[in-house]
Amino acid sequence: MLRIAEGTRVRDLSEELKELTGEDVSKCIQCGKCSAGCALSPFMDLLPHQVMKLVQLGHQQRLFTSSTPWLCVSCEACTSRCPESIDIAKVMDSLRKLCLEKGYPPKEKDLYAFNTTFLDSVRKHGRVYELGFTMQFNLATGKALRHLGETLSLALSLWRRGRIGLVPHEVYDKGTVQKAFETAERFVK
Amino acid sequence: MRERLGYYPGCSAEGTSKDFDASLREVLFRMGVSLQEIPDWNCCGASPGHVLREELGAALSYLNLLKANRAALGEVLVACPSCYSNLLKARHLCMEDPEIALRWSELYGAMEGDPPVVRHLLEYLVEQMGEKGIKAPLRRPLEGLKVVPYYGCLNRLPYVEMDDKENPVFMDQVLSWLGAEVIDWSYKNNCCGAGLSVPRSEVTRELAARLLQAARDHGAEVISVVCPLCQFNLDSQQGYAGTDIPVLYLPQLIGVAFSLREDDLCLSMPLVEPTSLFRAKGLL
Repeated sequence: MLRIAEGTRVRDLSEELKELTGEDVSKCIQCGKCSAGCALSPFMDLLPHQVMKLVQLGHQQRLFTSSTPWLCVSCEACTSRCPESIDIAKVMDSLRKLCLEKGYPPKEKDLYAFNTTFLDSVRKHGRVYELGFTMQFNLATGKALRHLGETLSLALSLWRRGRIGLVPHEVYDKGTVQKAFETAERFVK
Repeated sequence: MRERLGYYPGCSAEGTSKDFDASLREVLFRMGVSLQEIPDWNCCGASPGHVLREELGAALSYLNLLKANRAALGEVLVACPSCYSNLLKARHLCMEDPEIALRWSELYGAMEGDPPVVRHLLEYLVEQMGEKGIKAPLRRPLEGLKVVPYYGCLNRLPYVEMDDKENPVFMDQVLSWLGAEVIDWSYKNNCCGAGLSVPRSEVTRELAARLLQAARDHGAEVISVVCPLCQFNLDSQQGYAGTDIPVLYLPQLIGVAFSLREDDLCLSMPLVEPTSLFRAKGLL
């Protein structure tokens, strides 16, 4: 609990997360099971149990400049094994959203761009247009240019096997899809 | 009479996993099931739908349940684990959270009665079809074919409650009914890197290579999957892993055992070509 003056309490990050998502990170006992079972942990700059600790301590700067929440793919290994039944994957999800809300630039720019171009495609067509959105992502990030040979050779192999849908499939009722985009809340408890 | 079952194909069925969709339709048809696509279905939101805005994926999935409900489909079959989890989440919120249910019915329209029941392919095969249903159309048992089942994160995804989270066995069960030699391994549900294959391909590469090399070390000739992302990640990283193991969707393997035409099962679609192996084994 952070205190700035007698009788005045700053709402800490654990409490903020609990209010927004219903997940209580203060229950974490630092057993490390989440980090031990996380497939992505070798690529993260903070291990999942370290993230939990930093949430408890309220180290916002360190958390919102970390790659970890962005790298989490929600495979749920941590969530299904947590002895305190904390939905750790949901906490990671929520930290990404809080990072954006508090105005921190996403540490993993490409992952942020991937998510937004994906959703742009859904908003536009009603379904994901795989070819369109991966091309848009590659153009926006320059990712394909950095790995040009590899990208082209994979695209060619997929093309030869008929695994690239050339045209987008448009949903007839786009109005309701767009309404979902306009009204959906960032957090659900 | 054929059983009529609602079906949600999901967006990748129109691109990278056309073979999953095609083979699934074929084998279920042989088992007496007619699939009826949800009319005008839309994207479930996939991962980005909850990564940036929690309600978005659930709301998009509610629209699909609503479209199924309006088409009088009481039960919806889903093949992709991510779509499955999202549809389950929408169903859960709509049944258990009166505030959200009201909000959605005002915004998008109300559900008539309960929302449709959502079933995953594996659950449907094991619990509805069972051994009898799967063995009835069996023409060419997969005898001597060494298969490792790979489940990925399916059983752990939010709102999924089937099989065992740590040691799932449903796919093992179906494969053994087909006569395959099912190899037990401890990598069944290790993560494949999922959607990182495009934005962070080097991560997927490492994770997939570890799985592929383990499959090879266990003597696998085929890897069986039920997820478009698992298939893509394992299939496309074999050059890096130094392996050459076909990665097939479970319905493709069922189709081979039913002696269906290789074109109908789209066996030319995987990057690591499976037909020469099947021919060598006398299965095609």
